[in-house]
Amino acid sequence: MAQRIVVDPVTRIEGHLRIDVEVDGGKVRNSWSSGQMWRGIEVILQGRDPREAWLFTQRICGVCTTVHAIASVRAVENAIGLEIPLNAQYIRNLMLAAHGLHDHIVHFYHLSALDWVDVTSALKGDPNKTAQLAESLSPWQGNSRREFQKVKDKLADFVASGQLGIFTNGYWNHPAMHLSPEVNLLAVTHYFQALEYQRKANQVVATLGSKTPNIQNLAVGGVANAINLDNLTTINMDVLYKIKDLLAEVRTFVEQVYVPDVIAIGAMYPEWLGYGAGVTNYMAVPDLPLDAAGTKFDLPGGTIMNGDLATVKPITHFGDPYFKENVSECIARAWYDGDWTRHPYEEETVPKYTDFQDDGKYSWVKAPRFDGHPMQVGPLAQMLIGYASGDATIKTEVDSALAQASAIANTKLTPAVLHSTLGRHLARALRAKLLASLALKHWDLLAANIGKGDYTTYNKPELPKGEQRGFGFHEAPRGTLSHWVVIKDGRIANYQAVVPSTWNAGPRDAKGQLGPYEASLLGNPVADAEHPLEVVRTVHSFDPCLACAVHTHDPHGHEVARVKAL
Amino acid sequence: METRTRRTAILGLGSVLMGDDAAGPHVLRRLEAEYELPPEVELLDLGTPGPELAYIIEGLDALIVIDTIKAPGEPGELHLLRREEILSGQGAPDRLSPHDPSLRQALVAASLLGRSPQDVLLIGLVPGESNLGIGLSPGVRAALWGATALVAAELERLGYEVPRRKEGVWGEAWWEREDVG
Repeated sequence: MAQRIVVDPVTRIEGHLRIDVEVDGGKVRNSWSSGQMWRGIEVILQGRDPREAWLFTQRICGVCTTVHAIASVRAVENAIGLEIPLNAQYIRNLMLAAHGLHDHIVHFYHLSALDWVDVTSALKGDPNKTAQLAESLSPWQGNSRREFQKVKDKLADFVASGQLGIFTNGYWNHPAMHLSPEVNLLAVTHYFQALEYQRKANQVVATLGSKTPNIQNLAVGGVANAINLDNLTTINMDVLYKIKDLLAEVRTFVEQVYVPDVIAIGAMYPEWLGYGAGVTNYMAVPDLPLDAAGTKFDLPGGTIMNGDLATVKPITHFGDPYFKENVSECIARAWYDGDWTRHPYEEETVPKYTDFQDDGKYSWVKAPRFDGHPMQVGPLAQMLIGYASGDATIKTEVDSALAQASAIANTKLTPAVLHSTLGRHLARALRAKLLASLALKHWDLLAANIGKGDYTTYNKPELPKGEQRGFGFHEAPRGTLSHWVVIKDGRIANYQAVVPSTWNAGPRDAKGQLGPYEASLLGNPVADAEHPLEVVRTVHSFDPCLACAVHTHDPHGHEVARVKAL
Repeated sequence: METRTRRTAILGLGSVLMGDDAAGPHVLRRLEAEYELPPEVELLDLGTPGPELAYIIEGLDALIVIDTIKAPGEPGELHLLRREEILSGQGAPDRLSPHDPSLRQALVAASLLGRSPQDVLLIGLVPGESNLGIGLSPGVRAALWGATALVAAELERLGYEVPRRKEGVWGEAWWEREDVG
């Protein structure tokens, strides 16, 4: 007997982000960011062996698996004072850099480009003119007239067959879309090419980590990869060169496609360099450690307050007290029992759901604060901190990108424009460029260290009696991630994960200070309240780790639209 | 028997930390414990993948997916769907958030690349509770056996030999043990 059913796998743990905005006079006047599902990994980990925590934490989220595994082993290593071998550090760094590259490429092309690019307009693009335009932007070999024609044909077939499946969340013909058909065709072509390169980045993670999304090669104390240049089943020369080739290909794509695309598209929407700043306190943690102890890094960390680059203060090493002592989380406006602000070691996770209350509790996400301040995290934070602290590479890249964008936009753009919706996209692209070149540098470091005859990848952990506390941080694709663990007699007594999307998507705190998503939306234009594309643009620019639902209200609080934006 | 060079993957979807959502990963473990599987068949415990599901399935010839499914019935009830039914699923929301894997979206995306698997079977289990916590409800646990046998039958239909192991190597799932060790 035939039975009609709906294919709809049960909604997952990570849950949905709900954004409520009040629009008046074509602008957002108030906003609320709410996580709609509870994630309580802490509860599952209590009483377990801390050496196994990473297996569970990498299941917190189906997409950001690797980053939660890394932060967890770093936290436990910090708690028991364990250094890991240099090889392990480099192997982890290769995976982290490759994962970041994968994430940044997918985020721009597959999760947010369609906020700016009109797929149906691409059908009107002239492949010849597109090729001319593309040549003026980049030497990329995939920019031929034939390639653009091919994609245009493919797109036409797809539209004709009514299968615009993967583009269903596009806002076609929205008044806020204004790229030429040629630029749209260029971007859509790169959308397809990006599919191939994000996969190459992921292959690096899979080759080292055994499997993605859930890697299997980590251990408290290092990595489980054996190195033996003569053994086919371990890390050997073939494996190393395969990784190097993949990384080199990804670097070319990032340098010749991703970065020029973001600069060009950004310069064609200059008004979006003026919206979306929000919270201009920034934080990043240093990453890609260069030594066993985690005291020297290739990616900078620190804080900037009130958008003033002169206030930059560094976070320098694993265990840095400047980070450790200043992080807290507030639950005054979140669905937990109480209204405390506590350090992660002292937190408890006791859910207490109320309805969505504008003036009360309205989110499952806690509000993290640094010395009491909301902080914006993510690639923009890291690039600004590098820029402010005089990191030569970052300064060169940022200045060069701004000069190129200025030329296209025909106006002088200064670093101040980075505090914006498009600034976040540009910073992410530049961070990808940095990651691509650093990944190859860490490949060289690994190969050189193995060349010296050092094959060590693991230091065995010992769990002492008594209580230890530790934290591990990682500058994940979406920003600063930290895991905090309290161990008692070899068992986990408390565990908290303070994740990037919590810093950015968190609600108000006890003092009523808005979180970064909320603050960034104030003043955003909304041309059509039933299709609030502009709100989606700003929220997407953070690389949200939650699918979002946008609700627009009129000044009297009546709901105008409920938009499922992905 | 005809020579097999085709690529086949069996995907277990679902979070092992979310009650009955762990059904997919459980079936994979059970399959490995009960059957000798051909080396060219790949088993992937994917957790809750995002859009990358498309890149995992593209280029495959045959695909078997085990997942929980929102459908009528008691916990543990099985629903089988083939490729065309999944693709035409009326009322099925198109989801491309970073977290809601939509098999339909993944199949469409793989078609767009011209590399969609043609032989697709979704084995869906109706869940009881899918809230945070480890462990299956009795109905879903009881259904694992049947779902596993269905995977083996599908492999045989695809032309593989999947003999039962004489002695099972069945043990608790790592996420259900007190300690992973």
